[in-house]
Amino acid sequence: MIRQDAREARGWSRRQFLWRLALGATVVMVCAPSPVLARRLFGRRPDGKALLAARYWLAVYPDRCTGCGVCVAACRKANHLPPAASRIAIHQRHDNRAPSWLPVPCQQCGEAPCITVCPTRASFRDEVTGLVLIDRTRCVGCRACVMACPYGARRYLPEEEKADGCDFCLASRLLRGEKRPACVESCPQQVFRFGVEAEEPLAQVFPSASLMILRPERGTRPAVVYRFAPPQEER
Amino acid sequence: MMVAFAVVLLVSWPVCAWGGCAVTGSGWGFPMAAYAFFATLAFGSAFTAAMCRMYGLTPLAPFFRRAVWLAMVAGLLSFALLACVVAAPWRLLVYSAITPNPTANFWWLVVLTGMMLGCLFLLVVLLGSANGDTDTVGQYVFLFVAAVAAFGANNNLAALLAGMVDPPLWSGLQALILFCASTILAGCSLAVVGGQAVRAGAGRELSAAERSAVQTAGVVMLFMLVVLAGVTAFRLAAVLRFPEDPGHEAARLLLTGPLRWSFWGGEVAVGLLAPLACLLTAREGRERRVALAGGLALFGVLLQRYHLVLLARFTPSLGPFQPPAGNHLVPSLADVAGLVLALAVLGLALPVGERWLAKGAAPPLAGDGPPED
Repeated sequence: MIRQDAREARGWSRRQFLWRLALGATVVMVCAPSPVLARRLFGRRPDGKALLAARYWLAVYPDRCTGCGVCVAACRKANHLPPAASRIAIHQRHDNRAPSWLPVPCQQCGEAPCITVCPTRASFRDEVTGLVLIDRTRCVGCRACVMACPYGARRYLPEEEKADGCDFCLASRLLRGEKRPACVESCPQQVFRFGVEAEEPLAQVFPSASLMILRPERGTRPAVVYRFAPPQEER
Repeated sequence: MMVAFAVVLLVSWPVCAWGGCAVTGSGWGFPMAAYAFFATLAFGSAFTAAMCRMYGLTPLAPFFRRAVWLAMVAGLLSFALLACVVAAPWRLLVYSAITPNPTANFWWLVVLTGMMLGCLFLLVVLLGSANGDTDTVGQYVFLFVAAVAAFGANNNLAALLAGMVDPPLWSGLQALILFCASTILAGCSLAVVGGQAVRAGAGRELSAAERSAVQTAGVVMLFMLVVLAGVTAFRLAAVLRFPEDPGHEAARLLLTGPLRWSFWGGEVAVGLLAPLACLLTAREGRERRVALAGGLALFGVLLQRYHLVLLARFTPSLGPFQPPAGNHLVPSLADVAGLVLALAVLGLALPVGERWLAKGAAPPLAGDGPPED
């Protein structure tokens, strides 16, 4: 009987119930969309408003690609990657049309989803070069960046249990005095053209060209652009 | 019952350990779905505990202690399963603390789940040593914080799983409704199934209060199943009606693609329609049917999570330049053994929790006596 009385005494009036419901809903509303709020508050970087977040750009001419795989092998060798791993993927059309290939390295997005989803800030934007890089000591191998990349350009290396992605050969070549990434250097068909934005701005190199980016609906502002049917004078 | 669970544990352990229950490829696999399933069980059980104590569903009160215990154990098991997904789980916890990224759903998921588990642990300690007093302010505070943390973590799990499907099939309010409904459904189902397992193990009949709780849980489950069926049908119908919808490719994989048998046969028929039929035909005195509906609904929730993981992996985002899905749809034996192992541990923990929390349980209220029939 004593417990029954206590339960009745605990019973809430309508006003109390509504007040507590409102309190709970307020807390939930604050907590539930926290990533959205956080993205608004912390997610935008000072360089986020620039046309190109990276200080380099890469133009790709997919029509020239023959799928030979030389760039893949060169990437593997230059970056000391395990066998069968590469930082650039050559996708082949799988429908019934004429065979064609699409080279897809990391697009070096201005609004990079891999940076947004990384729980440990292992994916980050280098302040000097503007490139999206991976801090390998912080990477815990959760694969969130691999799943979040709209271009499927991130890889997971089982040998190292870490994520891996293209950095335009920053560590392996550019910082050692080389001028171009390994894939650009090695391609026999000249599928790639690499540029430094400060020396030859992308808008000046291709003033009237119809450049394309992959998946523009995602709003990632990539530094890798695609040009179909390239004119001969740009070779 | 404990012997059966122990046998299952002993059988599944070597398969899981030697087979290598872990995500091996570049994308997530079945271990991620198992993690999401156990996280859903934890969040749903926390919701169930909060509903019956703080938000007026007092007929569910006999489930309170069980729900708190199951939420804590399922949450711990979800972290254990997360170790099969993440290559360095300890470093995930360390770097989540020292280099947090508040824009990452994964980070919020880990933090909020940890907060929920901490509150539930303190609540379990209080319940186990409360000497029958279940109305302390501390219990309300811990329960409230745990429920809010569970709600936030559940939303982040929704964003993590649904947001990885690209182009997205579920987004915004629809994803929120889908995950909230399936989480509450999972929590109530686990409480009912757990209660049935405990009753069968102890060889006793349900009390009147427990019968009332099962019936009330059945009503909640029925409502959630209707919501799930409604939102799923609405979303898929909208995708089919408008081919320019971004979720068209994912819906095609699910409805007519390689996942069609699993979706129509597993998620819809077994996980949605069969429990609906069980609950609609379960009248008073048919608590086993409610428990059966709960078990089927739990299977449906697991499949729903696995389908989201597979859609995140195989939805073509580069159009004709991405190979069609079809490989690696079936989980490996070791991955399934990992899930079975976690279920066996949950089953073994259930009577332990009943015994531990019974120390601090209140004496039965009036009307909690043996069944009248």
